Amino acid sequence: MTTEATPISVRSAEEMLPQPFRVTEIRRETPDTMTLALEPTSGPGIEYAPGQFTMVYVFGVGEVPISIAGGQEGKLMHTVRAVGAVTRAICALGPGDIVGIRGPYGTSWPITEADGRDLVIAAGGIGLAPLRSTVQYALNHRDRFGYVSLIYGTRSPGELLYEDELREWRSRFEIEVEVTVDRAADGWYGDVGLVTNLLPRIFYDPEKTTAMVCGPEIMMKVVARELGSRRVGFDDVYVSLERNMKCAIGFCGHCQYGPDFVCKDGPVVPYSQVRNRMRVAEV
Amino acid sequence: MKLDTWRAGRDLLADLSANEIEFLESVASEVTFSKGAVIFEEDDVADTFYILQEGTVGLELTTPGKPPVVIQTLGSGDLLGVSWALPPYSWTWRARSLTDTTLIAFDAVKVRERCEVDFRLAHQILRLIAREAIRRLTGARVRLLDLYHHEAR
Repeated sequence: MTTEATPISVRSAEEMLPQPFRVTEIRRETPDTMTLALEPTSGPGIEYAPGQFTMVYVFGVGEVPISIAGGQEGKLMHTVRAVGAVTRAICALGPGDIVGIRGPYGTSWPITEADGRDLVIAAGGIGLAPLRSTVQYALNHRDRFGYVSLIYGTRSPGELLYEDELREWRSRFEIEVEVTVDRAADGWYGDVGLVTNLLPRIFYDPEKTTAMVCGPEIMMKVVARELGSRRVGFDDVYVSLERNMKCAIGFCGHCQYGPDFVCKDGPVVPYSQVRNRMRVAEV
Repeated sequence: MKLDTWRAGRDLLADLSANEIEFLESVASEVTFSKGAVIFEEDDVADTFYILQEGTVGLELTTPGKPPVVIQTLGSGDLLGVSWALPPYSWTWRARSLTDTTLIAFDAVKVRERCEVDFRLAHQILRLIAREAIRRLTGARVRLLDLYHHEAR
């Protein structure tokens, strides 16, 4: 028996076709960041693994890659910061509006491979969004892991994402949740300092820890280095890269990062794989 | 004051020998501060240093006419106080207890005197302080970059 491969041009055409999704809810997280709940207008929607992303198309404006922050049964949740024309248009959407979604794309956090291990989940700024579903997975499968800790750093108390969920996660006493800000404001009674300051506070066995780190690249480097100095192996530290992804299927090359395309070889990679590249300004 | 149980699983005193730990125990005592209490004041003589056992301490910058600004917080397992090790032996920041705290207080004068004759201890103490200072300097430098300001995902 022979099988015929689908011609690459047909395959890529299908992969470039967005599915219509309706905005069902939109919630302001911070002055410039919104969380959108999306459901497919028809069909089964999108099943994803934590850490993957979709391409979100605002008709007539453009398309951007956005990390998946959550969603179940084909529905999606995206948290978007308004920093450019397309993301500003996404943040201006309201319930009932339609967007095009392609995906999911990319690699995911190694959450199932981390069975039986301690988890250190380190987020910086909006980097909590791609880790949100990982935290929820850990909470929903708590008996599969040892110590589980979320350390989260952001610029100021007014820029914390998912404040209600952070409180809820902490109140369950099933995982350790530590939050810090770069700059305190009146009325802030929490921690002040870089997210790495929180590492001495949490429990983990370096020999059996999987760390998942997401934030600005410099933050990820500093956290990975600090974990390394605390004897966590760089193969066990995963980071989520961010590059200018356009096609999301490894054709266009916009997101090339050394020998990898971030859209298909990433965004989640072991720090050991990119450690040397993260020192090279031209990459 | 026994330090052996406390240091298990923590990096801070991991490199010290049994003799050195024994000496530190002889100059250590447990102290507690209630929420809001000032542990030490900017420019005061730095004759004690601490390790936090429980609670949170804020390092504050004070400015006339304005509320103090917390520039960094320290928590369980952190070293509180670095300025005691080098002249002029005075505190750079105010340290305030942000929650009820329990700390191990070390007599810094006795530690300095011992370091004058015990060079291995002096070396270990300076290594410990340098490691903490580098971590805090790295943190301060990264915060200066204001990384989260224009970030998108």
